[in-house]
Amino acid sequence: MKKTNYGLIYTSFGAIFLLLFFVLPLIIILVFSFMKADVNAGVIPEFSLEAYKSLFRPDYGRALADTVIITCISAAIAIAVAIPCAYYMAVSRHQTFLLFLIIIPFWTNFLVRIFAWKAILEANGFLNLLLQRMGLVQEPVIFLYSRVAVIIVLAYTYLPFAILPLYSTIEKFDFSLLEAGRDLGCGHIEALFRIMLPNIRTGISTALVFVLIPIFGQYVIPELIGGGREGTFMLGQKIANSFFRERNWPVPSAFSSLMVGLTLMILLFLMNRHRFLKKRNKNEITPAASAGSGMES
Amino acid sequence: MKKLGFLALLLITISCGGSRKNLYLYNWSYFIPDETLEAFGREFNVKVTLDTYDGNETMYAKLATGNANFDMVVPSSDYVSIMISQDMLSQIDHAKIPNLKNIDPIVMNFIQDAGYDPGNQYSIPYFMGSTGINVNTAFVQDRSESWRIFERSDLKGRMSMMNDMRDVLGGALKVLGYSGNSINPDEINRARDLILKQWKPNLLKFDSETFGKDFAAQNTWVAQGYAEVVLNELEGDQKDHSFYIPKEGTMITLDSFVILKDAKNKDAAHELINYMLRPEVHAYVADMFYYPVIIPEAQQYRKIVPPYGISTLLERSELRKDIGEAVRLYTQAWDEVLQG
Repeated sequence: MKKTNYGLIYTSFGAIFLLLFFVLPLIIILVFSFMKADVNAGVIPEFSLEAYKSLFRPDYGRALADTVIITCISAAIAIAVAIPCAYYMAVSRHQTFLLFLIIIPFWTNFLVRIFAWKAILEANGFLNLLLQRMGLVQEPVIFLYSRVAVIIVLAYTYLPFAILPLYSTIEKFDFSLLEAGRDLGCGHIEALFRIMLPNIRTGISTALVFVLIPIFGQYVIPELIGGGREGTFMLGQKIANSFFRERNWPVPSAFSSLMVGLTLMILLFLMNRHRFLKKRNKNEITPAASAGSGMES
Repeated sequence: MKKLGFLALLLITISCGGSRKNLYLYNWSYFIPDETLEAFGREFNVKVTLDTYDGNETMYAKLATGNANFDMVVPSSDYVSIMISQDMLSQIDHAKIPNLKNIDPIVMNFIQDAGYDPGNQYSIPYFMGSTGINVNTAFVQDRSESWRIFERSDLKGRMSMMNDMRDVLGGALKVLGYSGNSINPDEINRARDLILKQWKPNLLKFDSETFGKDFAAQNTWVAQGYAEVVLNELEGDQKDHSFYIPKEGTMITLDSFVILKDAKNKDAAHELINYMLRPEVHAYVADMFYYPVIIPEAQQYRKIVPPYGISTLLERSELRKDIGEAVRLYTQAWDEVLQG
């Protein structure tokens, strides 16, 4: 009897689906980015580098710079908050319950949560009421519609995406290593930084991928929380504006292609780093190895 | 008129019947009350399927990508002219729309003067209006009736403007004494600078989605935008609300019914247009959304007084026209306003 290759059959549905609804649209975007723009939307099928040239306009440069700054800061905040959370979850006796708490916000629509933030931060919002009751401020402070507000809401929104991969890495971490470190004269905090942090690097880079990439392409949060104030305008908005308002298709296609390319590069870099780290971890930081190296010194 | 809609489309299918005709209407969100469509459907035995959009841009992008299946759309005049030039529209048979005679001749002449659709071959006006300035009189004393209110630094952080490039740049152009449809790069840049240097420092935000809610919650005291959006949020409590069309003028949006070229049910589309132009239907819709009427006869059926009438509008303001290639200049200027 001839052996059937079931693997191919099983994966073919997914492969066809992705080819049709993911790869093909991306190719269309790439092709459009090299064409001429029609004044009333659409493209004129002639080769042109016009779209890529306009990316060097100062307004695009400004949007890129602001996007990079906002993305880096909010991703850094999300990761910095996520690490202690994930650590606490991993050592807690109520792991399932805490995990459940992290997932609960996903039951509420993303937009509803953004509007909840507006209700907290607005002039007559919850935070201002609280501050006024406590007598800390006389006049309402305007928190909303600023770069800080955009960063806070972005960090909040993507926090669970940072916590979950970190949690799964820290959970597998061998905590006896920390004890071993302390036995060898290392302080608790120092042990966390010198032993645990290097060991959960794979988790950190996964969390970074999950957080950086979606923040980089964000549209809704800067639109609703930024309100067009200085330093809040991100590339996602720029792309949407040139597509909808300017009715120009090649320019946003060029920028989207560039963003996909950039994202892919970050992803490849982080994935290879991941693989590289795994190998090194095996050689270096098994309990036996660290115990051994401790003996030698 | 232009309320929250986002990209998620709200699909309302009004009643189901046996062998009824189908009419696919693509309309602004909150622009025709559901009960009006239901009443039309019962009378003419048509099943109206409604899809909504939140901006001409969204509507046009959807139609331009070519995967929509609508019979009728309700674009503003600038988009009517683009859609005519793109050969997307079907000629309207005036013989099937006897109620066309109800529309105020002033409005019909205004359209002829604008010249985007000679003889109304492709579009039938539905409502016209404009953004203006909503003021909370409990907090703000203002008799200026001017765009210059946005230069008042004592109201810093308590004022908002629309995130709409044609509307706000158009206002700034008019304050500077230019046409709101200017395609002159210098004039557009001067308008941009006026907004950036004189107005934006005092603004809380540029926002077309939630400005009504913020005004109603007293987070803002001055909001440039559609009066009906604010009145809707105030739920009719007009005690401290005043609205004016600035004396320098605004950009008029005139929304019209058009029938798409590949519409499957052109008869039902004509029937709906004719139905919407009945004075009592027009008055009902106008009351619902606080619009000024464009059918004089409808005035007697009105139950509310709208914040402004079309005479003020026609006296002060200018129709929003398609500006062709200059849309690039506007988009760039507007993005610079948002970034700066």
